[in-house]
Amino acid sequence: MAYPIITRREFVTGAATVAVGTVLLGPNRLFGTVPVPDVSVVRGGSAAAATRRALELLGGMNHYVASGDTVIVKPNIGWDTRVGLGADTNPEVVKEVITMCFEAGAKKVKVFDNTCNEPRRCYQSSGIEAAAKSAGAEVEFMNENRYDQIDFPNGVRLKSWPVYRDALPGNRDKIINIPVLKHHSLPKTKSGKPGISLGFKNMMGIMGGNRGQIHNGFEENIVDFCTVIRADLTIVDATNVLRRNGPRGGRLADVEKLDTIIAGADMVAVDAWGVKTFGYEPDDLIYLSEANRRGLGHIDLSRVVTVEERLS
Amino acid sequence: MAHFQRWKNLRIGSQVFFLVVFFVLLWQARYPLGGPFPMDLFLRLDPLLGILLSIASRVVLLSFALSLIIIVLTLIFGRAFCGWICPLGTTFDVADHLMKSRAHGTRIRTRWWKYVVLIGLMVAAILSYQGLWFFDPLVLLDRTATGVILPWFWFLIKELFATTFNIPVIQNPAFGLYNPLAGVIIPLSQPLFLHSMSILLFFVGILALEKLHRRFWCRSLCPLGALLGVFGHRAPFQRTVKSDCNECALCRENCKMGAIHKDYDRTNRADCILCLNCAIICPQDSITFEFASLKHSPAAFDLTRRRWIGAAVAGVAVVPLIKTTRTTNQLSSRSLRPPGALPEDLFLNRCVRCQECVQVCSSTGGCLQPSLLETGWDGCWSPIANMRMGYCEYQCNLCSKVCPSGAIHKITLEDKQSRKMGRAFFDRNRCIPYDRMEDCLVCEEHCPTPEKAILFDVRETRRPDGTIADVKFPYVRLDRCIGCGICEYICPLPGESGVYCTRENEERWGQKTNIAFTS
Repeated sequence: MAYPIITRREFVTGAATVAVGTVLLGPNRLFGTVPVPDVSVVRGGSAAAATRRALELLGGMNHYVASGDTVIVKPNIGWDTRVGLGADTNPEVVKEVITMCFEAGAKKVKVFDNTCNEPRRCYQSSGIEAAAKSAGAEVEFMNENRYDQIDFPNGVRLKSWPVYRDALPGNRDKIINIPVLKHHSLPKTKSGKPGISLGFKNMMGIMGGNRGQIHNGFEENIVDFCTVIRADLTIVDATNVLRRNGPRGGRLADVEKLDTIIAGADMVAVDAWGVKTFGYEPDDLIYLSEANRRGLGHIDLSRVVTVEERLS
Repeated sequence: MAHFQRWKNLRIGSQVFFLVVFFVLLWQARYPLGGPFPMDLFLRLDPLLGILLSIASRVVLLSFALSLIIIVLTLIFGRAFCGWICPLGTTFDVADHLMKSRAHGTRIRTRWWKYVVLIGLMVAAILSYQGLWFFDPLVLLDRTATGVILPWFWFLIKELFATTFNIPVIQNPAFGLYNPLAGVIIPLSQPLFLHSMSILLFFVGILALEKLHRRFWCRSLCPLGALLGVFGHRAPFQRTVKSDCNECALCRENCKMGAIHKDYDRTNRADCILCLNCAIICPQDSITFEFASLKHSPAAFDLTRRRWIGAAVAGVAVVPLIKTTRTTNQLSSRSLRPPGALPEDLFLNRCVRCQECVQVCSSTGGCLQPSLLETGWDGCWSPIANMRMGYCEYQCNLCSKVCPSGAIHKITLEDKQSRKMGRAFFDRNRCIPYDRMEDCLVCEEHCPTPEKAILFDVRETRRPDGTIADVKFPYVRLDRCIGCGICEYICPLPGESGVYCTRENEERWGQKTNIAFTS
């Protein structure tokens, strides 16, 4: 008999091993079909190409946006500064994201931000209004009479806060957060190094009220906020990175061109990659550790499945 | 008669047209500032402003060169400006109809007052004081429109929409209607002014005088009317009466300017504003308006020598009266002037309180406010920056672009971004990190200078609850701070801010600060 002989016991053990392995590791990794990483990091290339590639590596935009969806694209439009100074999100990234949303079948894409300087100035000089409109999105100024008070039942410090109505679940299907990686003195670090602004901080753009009060106890407040309002996809713009004098900046000397796009659905993992890109250890940022501790995502990058790629 | 009815319709059309243009131009004074016509067109057409400001500031102000058009028009047609163009005059006509006030064309005993006002202003201008900010009719309407009428109107519109935003079924279509207009036609943020009531009261007072008789202001108080009367009292185009007049007195009774002499034949061309009402009301059709040889004008100015001298003395007397009122240092130190403003005395001498700068500022940073007595009676309604109500946008120099009189010098954006309006101070009793020993840094976050003017010290601190923590304590770097006030505006404390701006270190146009700083 040329057949290999397996006993009944060997068969049962082997089958059980495969079954347990499948459950533990996930079928994709075991059988090598369509691996969808948690985070993709694309370096080099144009901002638009890098953004597109980052989404392709994550399985494409239709992995996140379904046909007929109403999508909120939330870039950072906080400041009345020129394109390239790293205070606002790169308009090319915003435009590419909107284009991909429509390719995935989105019915409507809305773009807005609660700005720090005068809204029209910010929308215009950031280049985002023009870019988003050219891609077919609706660009709106947020209206002070359209905020709803939202409760945060698991909030440690933040119990209730006004949030922009259009960004609330029920009024939209998906929310795509596009922060710009930059220096910001507010988020505390364990090491005492200057803080960094990323996806969590960018969520403040859909808050209303006296937002300055969020600053006292920022680390707890922002995590409390994201226990209820979470982005479905976060895309970090690390193309022009403001190293000093953030979050507003204004000097080209403070900007470093890193030409990097980081994308993923795990808000904590994406921010952690952003922090790493800035040159810090992820758990140095206190709000990230806090978010990780409360189960909003994964801070340990060794356990986050990441695909990195460099475009030429 | 029918002939003049057509002309009267044309006159009313002209009045409505210029009133609308006035408001459209004023509304156009907003970010991003554009449009083919200067928004201060009416002020530039005002010869009273041009002449008296030039005298008071000892400079020929060419920005008022357009007012020559009005002077030439007046030399030919008399005070046609007052009857056909002046938006304040039109406002009175509308108010008169609503209030049913009567012409009382025979009440003429107070009409010389306006020459006293003009002479007083002239004498004061020679002594380098301009009182135009109180008396000029176009400035008056500009100020009332900016400070009261437009904010009132926008509030009404915005509130109506805001109500619909909370009604489930119609909220989305209502917002869809509203949002394309927001920031384009409807201001994004509601203009709010601390002292708008004082502006309104002044305006209501003048309107109330209309109850005495029509066009009271124009007949008896308006210095621009007086000046145009001087230019136009021998105008060739005039009212003439044919010999078939039966002296029914209707024209004289119904003259809203009281310009018809009691012989019904002669007209006071220093007062006639060519409204044409007399030609229409005349049952005999004997009144017409035409170019005619110069007729004798009845005592056009009603000014005796005693009144001349009295007016001049009043002009001299009022200047020290106003100039010797001052406010406390504390109030005026919190009253920052717009960037590019002339040194204070020159500034007050040039600023006519038209509120063009306030209007344009309300569409962007929103810090400029008409003051009341913060800078003295002398500075009433002059623009001051209230940094708790708004702040000076780092990328904006629009106020300097709209100033019609040059009280705010036209400065470039680069100049503005390094020119100090004042400086920021931390109130360490109120500022959150000093008071609660908690991080805050909203001011540092917003500080717009490329290298931050607000920095912070990290110090290990014992908190009220006994724990030890690193706290970021903010401070100001004087050499970088331009006093834009965004820190004061954005401070999350309720009421008084934990950081505030004063005029210390300010750099007015043509004047650099001498204060040396070390940091």
